[in-house]
Amino acid sequence: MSEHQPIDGLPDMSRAGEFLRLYQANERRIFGFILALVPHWSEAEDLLQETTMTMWSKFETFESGTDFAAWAMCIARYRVMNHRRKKRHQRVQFSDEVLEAIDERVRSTTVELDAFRDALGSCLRKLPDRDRELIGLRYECDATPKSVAQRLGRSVDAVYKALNRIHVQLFYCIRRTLAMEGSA
Amino acid sequence: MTDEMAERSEFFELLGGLCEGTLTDERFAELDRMLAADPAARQSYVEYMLLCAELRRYHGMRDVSKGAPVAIEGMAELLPSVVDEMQDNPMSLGDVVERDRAMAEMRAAEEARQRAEAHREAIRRAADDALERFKEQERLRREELAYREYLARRRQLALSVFAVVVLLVSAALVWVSRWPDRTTSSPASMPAVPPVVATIVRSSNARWDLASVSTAGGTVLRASSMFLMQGLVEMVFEGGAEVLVQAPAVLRLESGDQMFLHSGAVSVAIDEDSTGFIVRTPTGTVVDYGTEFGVIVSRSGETEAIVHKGKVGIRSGSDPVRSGTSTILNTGQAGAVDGTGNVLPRAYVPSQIVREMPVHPSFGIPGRRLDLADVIGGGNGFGTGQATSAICPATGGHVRPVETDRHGTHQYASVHWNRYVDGVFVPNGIEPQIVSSAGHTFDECPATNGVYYLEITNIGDADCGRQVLGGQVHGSPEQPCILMHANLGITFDLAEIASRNAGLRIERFRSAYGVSESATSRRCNADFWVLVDGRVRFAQTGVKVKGIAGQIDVPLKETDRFLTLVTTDGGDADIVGLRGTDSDWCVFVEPNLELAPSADGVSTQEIGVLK
Repeated sequence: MSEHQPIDGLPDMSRAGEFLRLYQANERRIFGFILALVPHWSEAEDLLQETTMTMWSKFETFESGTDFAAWAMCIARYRVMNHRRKKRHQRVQFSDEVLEAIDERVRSTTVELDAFRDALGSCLRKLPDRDRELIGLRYECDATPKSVAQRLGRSVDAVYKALNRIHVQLFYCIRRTLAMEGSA
Repeated sequence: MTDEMAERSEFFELLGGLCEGTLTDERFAELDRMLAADPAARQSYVEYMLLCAELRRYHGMRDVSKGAPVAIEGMAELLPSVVDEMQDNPMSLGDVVERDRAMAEMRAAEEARQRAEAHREAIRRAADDALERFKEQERLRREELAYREYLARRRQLALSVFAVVVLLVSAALVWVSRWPDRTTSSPASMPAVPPVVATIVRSSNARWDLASVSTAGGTVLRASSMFLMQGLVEMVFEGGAEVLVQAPAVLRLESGDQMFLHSGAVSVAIDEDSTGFIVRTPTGTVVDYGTEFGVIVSRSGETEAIVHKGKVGIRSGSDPVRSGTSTILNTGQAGAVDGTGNVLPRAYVPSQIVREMPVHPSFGIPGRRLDLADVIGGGNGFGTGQATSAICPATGGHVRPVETDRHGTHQYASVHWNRYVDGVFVPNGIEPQIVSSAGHTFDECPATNGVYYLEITNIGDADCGRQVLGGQVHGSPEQPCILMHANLGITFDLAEIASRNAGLRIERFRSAYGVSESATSRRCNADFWVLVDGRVRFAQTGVKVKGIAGQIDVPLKETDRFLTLVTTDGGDADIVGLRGTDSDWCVFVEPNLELAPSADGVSTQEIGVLK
């Protein structure tokens, strides 16, 4: 047996590099998919981790050259559905119809993530310094609107409103940017 | 603000609350309704969530290979052995991959170690086997070497004796030539005297083809060719082997521990201190390794070895030193070398050869008279069969006889376990009765009720009652009889019997017959038939008196293949409470095949030139 042959109970170690490369290239799309279906940060991150481990353990079934993101989203969807069954009595969830529609929308979206991110960067630079600072503080690790409000000496409600306003600005800015790039 | 704008503002407020985790259940339900109703809202929702995710990434920049903690639930499928450990120490994906890699390397190393151990074990076993083979070959080599040295010593002794004789003769000639008054005579040539290789211990009804050779105990036998035409001779070889020769046997005594069996059968018994007795045959060589065994050479030249106890080697070819195809036979095994030199396994059938000199001479005499009752008991016709054993006429099986009425079919059943019996049947006379495996039919078979009461039985003791015919009691090794209660048939394979008695021909079938007195006082009515290759050669129908013995004498030719004995019920119909076969205790008393030297049998002169 060569050192790269799979061993019972363990993934094929010779494909670990391939897995990491594909995962890194698609992790944002996978997380976006999960977050769209389960719009709660901590739960979405937990689901991403579960999905990642399942992908790794099942990676021997993935055929190189095929659509890794589609394969990953199938696994993620399975984990999400499992999660919804567990949580169905704990919180309000999207209805099955909405979930199916969002699922279909995410899978069929033509948004190019790299272009989206570039557009986001561009739009962030267009924000007033104060707004850009607020966004930066909000998305630092472990930050919450409450902690940001305390740090800025503002009310939590004011922070919520400001963040919402900035999000909407960024949303439309990105749309315009991507539309302009698409028509260019 | 228009309604659309207000609605859009409302929608984004919901999305903002969703991202911050501040949405109430009611507001969440409101968002659900919006998303369900408007595809554009769903597209906006997806882009908004992507914006939030990218903002988080943009500012947080998680490293997927290091930063993302791994859930224990996912790990359970992947590495169950480390789940417990990881519950206290969450690992990153990179850690897991590295852990897996290390685990894989450990597994691979362990498997390599196990393969290496298995390889070493295989080598050790192979070495042990090779050592055992070497020991066996070395033992054979030593035996053969000892045998060659013996032959060399014997030649040396013969040369010395010859030299002394030449010297003595020369001296005598010189002495005679210098004594003119003495009447001279021509010097007689001194024939070489073969060495003594064996001594007869005892014999039974034995007769060599040369009347000058005695069969009495104590007779010394020199290296020579011999034809035992009749009986049994037990001899002990100089090397210690006790050999029982069963006629007809053409053999050459070659040395104190070797003989050549051209045809016939011998049983050999050797104690453990005198191993190495060799029986050569035209097609094979049987080498004894301290055991009791038999060798049979059939007319076709096939050599069969039967091991009763211990171990023998059987090889193709008659050279005792040069090895051909070979195999080792152990206790309870048999093997053969066929005419083309193939070494084949055979069923172990010890009864096909006489192993010990009988205390009382049996009715069957090898080379002269073959007992067909003994054959039914599974024997070779010379007292090796089982008493009170029988052949089931419906199946051909070897059974203990049972007395009860049974309906048979007219189907011809082969008897595979008995070399000398071709088949059996229950005649009903309604359908064509096949009486041999070659398809011969018994066209004259009368109609019967198709019922038989007892199997075809070799009467040997009181289990079925001794049968009385002509005032004589029959049913013992000395006075055998076949009990064939009405409606039974059996066919003997004359060709196979002749093959196992090379040098002889089957001259005739002789037997007394009748309905035994030992049955009830009710009347009998039975028919007796003897067929050869389906043709009726003897018939006595309507035997209605018990105890009267008739005689059957059917001459046979060497071309005759099958001998069939049949009993039928005399055509009696079944009546209430009484079968048509009632009291038909038909017996063949002292049924035998008479053997005589074949016209083309091998003579001593012929075997004298055999090498």
